[in-house]
Amino acid sequence: MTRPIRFLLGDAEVSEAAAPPTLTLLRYLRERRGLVGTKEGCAEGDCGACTVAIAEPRDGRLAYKAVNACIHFLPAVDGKQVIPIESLGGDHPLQRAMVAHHGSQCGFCTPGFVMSLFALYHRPGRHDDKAIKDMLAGNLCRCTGYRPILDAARDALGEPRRDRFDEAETATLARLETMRGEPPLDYAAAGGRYVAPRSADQLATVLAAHPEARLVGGATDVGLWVTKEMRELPLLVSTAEVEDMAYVRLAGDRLEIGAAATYAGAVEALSALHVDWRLLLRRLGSEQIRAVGTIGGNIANGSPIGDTMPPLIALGASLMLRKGGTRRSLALEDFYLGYRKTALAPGEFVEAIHLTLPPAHRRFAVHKLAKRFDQDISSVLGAFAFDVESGRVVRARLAFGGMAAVPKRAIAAETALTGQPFERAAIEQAMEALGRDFQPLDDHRASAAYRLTAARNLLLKAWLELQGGDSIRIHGHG
Amino acid sequence: MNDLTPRRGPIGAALPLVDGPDKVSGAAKYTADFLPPGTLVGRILRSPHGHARILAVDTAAARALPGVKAVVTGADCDKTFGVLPIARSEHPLARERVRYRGEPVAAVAAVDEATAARALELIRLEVEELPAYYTAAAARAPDAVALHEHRPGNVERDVLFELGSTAEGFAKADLVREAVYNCAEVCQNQMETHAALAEWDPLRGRMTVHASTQVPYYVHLMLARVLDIDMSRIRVVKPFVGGGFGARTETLAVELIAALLARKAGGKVRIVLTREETFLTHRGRPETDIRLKIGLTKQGRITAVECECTQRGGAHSGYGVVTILYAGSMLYAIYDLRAVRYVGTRVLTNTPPCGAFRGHGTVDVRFAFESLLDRMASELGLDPFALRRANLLTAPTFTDNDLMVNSYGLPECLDWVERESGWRARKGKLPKGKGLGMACSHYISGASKPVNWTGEPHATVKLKLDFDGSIVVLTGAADIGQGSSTVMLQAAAEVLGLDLGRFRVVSGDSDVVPKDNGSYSSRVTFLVGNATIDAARKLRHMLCEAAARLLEARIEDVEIEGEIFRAGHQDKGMPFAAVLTEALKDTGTITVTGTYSTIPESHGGKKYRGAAIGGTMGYSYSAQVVEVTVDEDTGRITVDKVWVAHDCGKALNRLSVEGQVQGSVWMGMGQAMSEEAAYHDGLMVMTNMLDYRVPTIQDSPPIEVGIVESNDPHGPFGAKEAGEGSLAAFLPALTAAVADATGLRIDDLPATPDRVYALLDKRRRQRGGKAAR
Repeated sequence: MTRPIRFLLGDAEVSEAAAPPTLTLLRYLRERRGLVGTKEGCAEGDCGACTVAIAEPRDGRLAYKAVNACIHFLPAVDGKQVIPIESLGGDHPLQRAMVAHHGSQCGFCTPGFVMSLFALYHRPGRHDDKAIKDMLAGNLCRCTGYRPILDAARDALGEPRRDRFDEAETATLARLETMRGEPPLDYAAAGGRYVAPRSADQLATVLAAHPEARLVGGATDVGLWVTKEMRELPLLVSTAEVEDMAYVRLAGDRLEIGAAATYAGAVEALSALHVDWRLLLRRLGSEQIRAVGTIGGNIANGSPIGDTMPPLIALGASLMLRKGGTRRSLALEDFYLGYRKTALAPGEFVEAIHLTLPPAHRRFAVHKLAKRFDQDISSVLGAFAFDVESGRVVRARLAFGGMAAVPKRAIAAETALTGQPFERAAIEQAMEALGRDFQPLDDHRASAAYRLTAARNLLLKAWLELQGGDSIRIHGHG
Repeated sequence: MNDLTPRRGPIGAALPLVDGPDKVSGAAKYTADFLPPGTLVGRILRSPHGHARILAVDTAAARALPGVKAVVTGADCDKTFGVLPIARSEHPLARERVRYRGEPVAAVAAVDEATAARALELIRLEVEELPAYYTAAAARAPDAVALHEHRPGNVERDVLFELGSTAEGFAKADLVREAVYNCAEVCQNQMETHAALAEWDPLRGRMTVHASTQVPYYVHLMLARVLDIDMSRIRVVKPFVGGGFGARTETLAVELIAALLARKAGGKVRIVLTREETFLTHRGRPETDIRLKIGLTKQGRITAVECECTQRGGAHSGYGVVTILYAGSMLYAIYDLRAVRYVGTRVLTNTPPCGAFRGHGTVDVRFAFESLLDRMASELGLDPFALRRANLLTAPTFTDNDLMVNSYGLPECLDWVERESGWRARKGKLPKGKGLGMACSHYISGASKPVNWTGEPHATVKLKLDFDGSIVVLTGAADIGQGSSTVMLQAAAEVLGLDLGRFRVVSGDSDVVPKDNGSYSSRVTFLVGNATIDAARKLRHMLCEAAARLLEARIEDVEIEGEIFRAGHQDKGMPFAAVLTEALKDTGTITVTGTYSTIPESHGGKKYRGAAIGGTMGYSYSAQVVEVTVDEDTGRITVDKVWVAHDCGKALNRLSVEGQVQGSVWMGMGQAMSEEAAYHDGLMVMTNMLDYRVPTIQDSPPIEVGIVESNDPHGPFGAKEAGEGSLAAFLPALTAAVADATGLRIDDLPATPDRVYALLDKRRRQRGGKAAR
């Protein structure tokens, strides 16, 4: 049974039955609701001008996130509250602070900044400069150099904080709960269909019946297929509401990550295993991307420059693939068959990622090299896992992104290390061997020569930093 | 000293932008936010060829597609456009030839986007390929085909001057050094993509265009020319504009194409360019090659300068002539130079046209100049501050190329950054991998001679006072976020001594406001600010006249304070309301016009062809210190902190000045470190927000701003520009800091990690280090 999309737009209850399923939230707001305060700067989720806040129930409270409306399909807001700039009215403390601190010059990026800060405003606790910068790294401004915006944020994010959205929290929760009493969304309009199952079983059933469907998580890449490539996607099946695939849990000797877990949702558990995950995920995309993008999506999408695959490969992750009621396990490194080509059979999907807990003698480091700290595609990403016993490498797994058509292990370099003392001489052998593992590409992001040299240096850098063990790791750029 | 020294009014305050509330609430409307019912969607077909002769543009199938209301091609308009009357080389839609990948060839107006996109696919472009030149060197090869027949050798303009004897100068020098620099092409990449909404009224024969422009007046001129209709039938509206930085200081094809489509369709057409198209429209800073030679005495005195500058200008003339002249003329007016030889070449290439990016013409040459000074200072064992101080000007003065310098706060700028950065205590004593560098720059406060010379005053402002006691500033000056509306309002309120709340600014509608040349070359505060002061003085005079009648006093005795008009301190005075009633009694609504014109002495000289370029009423000055950390394993530079002092004459609004200075330093940082227009076979390829890397908040350092007030004798309340002059100094200050940290000189920008790494690696190999380190 299909049904309309139901959500709150600010305070107003909306039931939408006519919009095409791949209509973006941005176009919906601007063109169908006349809410033009939200701007389009790039139409691909890179600039944050289109940021709106979305609130949804979590553990009895409203949880707020900032999303890029330009690549957010409208059906994804079903059962949620969408808060565009207009809903703030104009005299919100954040808005007052932005005016007072000269945080807005041309003003085009301003609504997006305000809405990112609005999401942070509604996260409890004190927010230091680091938290503010993490929140705002996905919002580009070309006028200010950011300093006045940072000042405005410091000013408006003092404690205690309470605005009219907090006042209305109970009522809003109740209204959203009523909406969520509806069956899972199956939405059809304008020749397209969007299905949002709420369990893995439902998902498996839908995909078995419709192997031609395009599976979508946070749509941080698929959104661009629509906005940039004008692709037709007649049937979208979303993992965003699949509650029993959003877990991140310890099970015996392994960490299990549901394929629908977002980057934001997985960061704590992964960082507990290896401290480098925190920095890596902090640099992956932006707050807006991490709020909706999923690790499962990153993996299944199969881009050669996805950031999570090299570390997962280095740590020996395996995937749980599912088709209907049938499951199979596959090592992540075997999942990639070629450029954007994976081992998924029609109707099959990634259900979970399994990561065996590291042995005590595991040394691990990830280094991402890009021209910008965050919001950037890696030129080279290297992940290094060394199992060292009595000073000798008993097992090494080195994996790289940006060096080949797929995320790939450096077998020759691993071989050069295995059985050797964990010392500079062996590392230099392995660095040499990387030349046999990879023949990287020249493109405008980096030259082939730079990529190879950088990959070698990242390996050396990892070794140098690991001399003191995890406790004295220095986290800088690069 | 300036005769208009502000006392207690709003001038000098830290006043938030008057239009800030509109911007933070989402109420501010930009061009793409206007969508009147019945508006058609316009889309542009762009050339996939770098250089080709057009044989045919077949639009039959597109025209036949249901939902298509108009198709236009080069055949629809034989008029050229361009910002300089002497060099209008572009057609709104290419005719006969296409000259770069991305040049508009045809356009459609359709009922919706999908139809418009489909129609573009149906247009067939037939061409005969011509050799395409993507570098300045290739375009200048002896056998190269000329892009434009009237520009043989593909040279848009060459400039040569020698003032003083460089031969003698170099002979007197104790140290002569020569170096070669390269700065990559960069893009403004303002947040708002280009957009235009054209509304044709077929019954009245009138055209209204909303445009995201810095220069509504130039758009007005070009619309009349291209549509071939009388200027009085055109109305140009400039709504809120999402940044410009020079990308919009000339009429763009999108505005003209929208109008051509609207007239042909007999209705309304809106074109909103994508980010990619906005990049392709370009008008950025050209790739520049500089060979620079400087002679210094042991004491650091500059004895001679020889500068060769080549700019890859792109496929059309644009501002090109002005850019290449600025690069030479602005060698002057910052240091005392006595022998300068300049050879400039602006080259036409099959790449998108360059334009007037913030710091127009000055930035890349300043990078080279300051870089070489820094290198030579270290060779001579001189402190870089001492070297600058050995070459200061003394204002007032005229430079050898006849530029008039009336105020000169560079010495104070140097003092401020030297002190605040702790230079003397810290320089040379930082831990490994860290470094400090410094440099200077300057800029004009508006060109003394406008591009489009008409004989009119340089700026005109109107003030309207009506029954309600409100005062409306009517100005054509385009506020694009730099805060010009706020400054106009402050200036008027300051002169009149009335409450700021009475004032409003109305701008950006040619039906209502007086003409203004536009927001570029930092002209608005200086020129329009002075015109505002003139208007406000006239209005003040009228009010004082009325007050004098009521108070039975002499007009020269009337003072305004706290909205009370008094003749002498003892006088109880008349409230503004009573004076207003008296003032309006005979005439009703009062409108006054203020104007400002530059003085002839500021117009530059005639010593060589084009010597007037560079002339201004007031030069701003900037000094900067940059602190960096360099990671030698990856080549990555981190900017830890910047100290910048800017001589803006007088800070009319401290918040705005700090904001402008920080913004320009930051934009210089982008050019220095990560921004770069990249081409593949003539196609610009980094045309998105991910691959054109502007710094994020994470990459952006604290920037401490010191404001130096040199009180320019001609500036409004003593003010000069604040929005451009601090950009250029960042580039050489950064590379000087990297040199301090690593000993390496970076002569090619941007200093991306791979470039820096390659230099580090080369040095390691030269020193016989291990291969990969």
